[in-house]
Amino acid sequence: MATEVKVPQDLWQDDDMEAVITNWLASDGATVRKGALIAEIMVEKSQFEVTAPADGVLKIDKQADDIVRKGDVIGQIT
Amino acid sequence: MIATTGAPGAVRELAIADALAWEATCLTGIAAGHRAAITQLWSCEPALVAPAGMARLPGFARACAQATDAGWPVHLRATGGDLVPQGPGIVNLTLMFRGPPDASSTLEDAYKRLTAPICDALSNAGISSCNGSVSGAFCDGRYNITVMGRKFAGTAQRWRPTAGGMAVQTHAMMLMRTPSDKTIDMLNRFYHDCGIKRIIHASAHVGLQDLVQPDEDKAAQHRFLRMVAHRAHLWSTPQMS
Repeated sequence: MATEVKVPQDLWQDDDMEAVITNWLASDGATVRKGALIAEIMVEKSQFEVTAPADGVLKIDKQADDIVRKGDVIGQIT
Repeated sequence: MIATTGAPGAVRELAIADALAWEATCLTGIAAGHRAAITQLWSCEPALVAPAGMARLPGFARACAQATDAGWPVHLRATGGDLVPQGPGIVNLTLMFRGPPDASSTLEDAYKRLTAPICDALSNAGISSCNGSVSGAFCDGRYNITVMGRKFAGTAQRWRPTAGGMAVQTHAMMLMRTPSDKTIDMLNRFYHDCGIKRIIHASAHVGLQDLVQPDEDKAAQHRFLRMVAHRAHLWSTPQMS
């Protein structure tokens, strides 16, 4: 079963505010460990570190520079 | 443990590379639970500081070479935002803390925590300020501190999830002197070399020196920074959050 990598739901208050994926630090298909830094997103001049929610193989759904919102799924770990 | 360095209001002089490395080390320490909060005022030599993502721009290397030749070496930082100048006319406030385990703290809360000490200190000097964007300002954002519609301070953050909540790095750069046309020209040249169509205007900014009586500017700056440090220290204590 896949574990979704999500943009946090509660990091900012404004539901309409958009974020951007600034960097993937793990490659599509890479094996990642739970808690490892795998991506960064930026919103309102704030850089947020996205960590792997599980051990497994990363599948990237949203690319660097893609616009995302609260709760969006940006990748999966199987 | 709350950590500060030097006397209240003392501005630590650091090389920009050392300042950025110090911030990274501190954030790691906060995330590991070694410290509850850190607050520090610091200043550095002239340099341009860009968010790390900017390094992917095709013209970035050439822009860096041109800027370095002109006396503005370029450094990358971990927080978000855009290109900023650093130098003797700027004092930075770094404030770091651990967010609560229930993650009820938000980016907006952290910006309020960062900007409140600065706005309080401005108010104490008889200067009215608010948060907001300024058209034509460098590294513009909704959580600038503005005075008379001009940018006085810029802000940025970095958030790191930890097992017990969040480690939060917040940063404000405060203008003690209004940036010179030469500084602004350097920013605009850098954008041009990177292929970015953005124009920064010196008139969109204001330094503390231009907000106080000319014969009092050094004393006013000292009082202002002392109060910022004092208030930031209070705001960084967990029981005050």
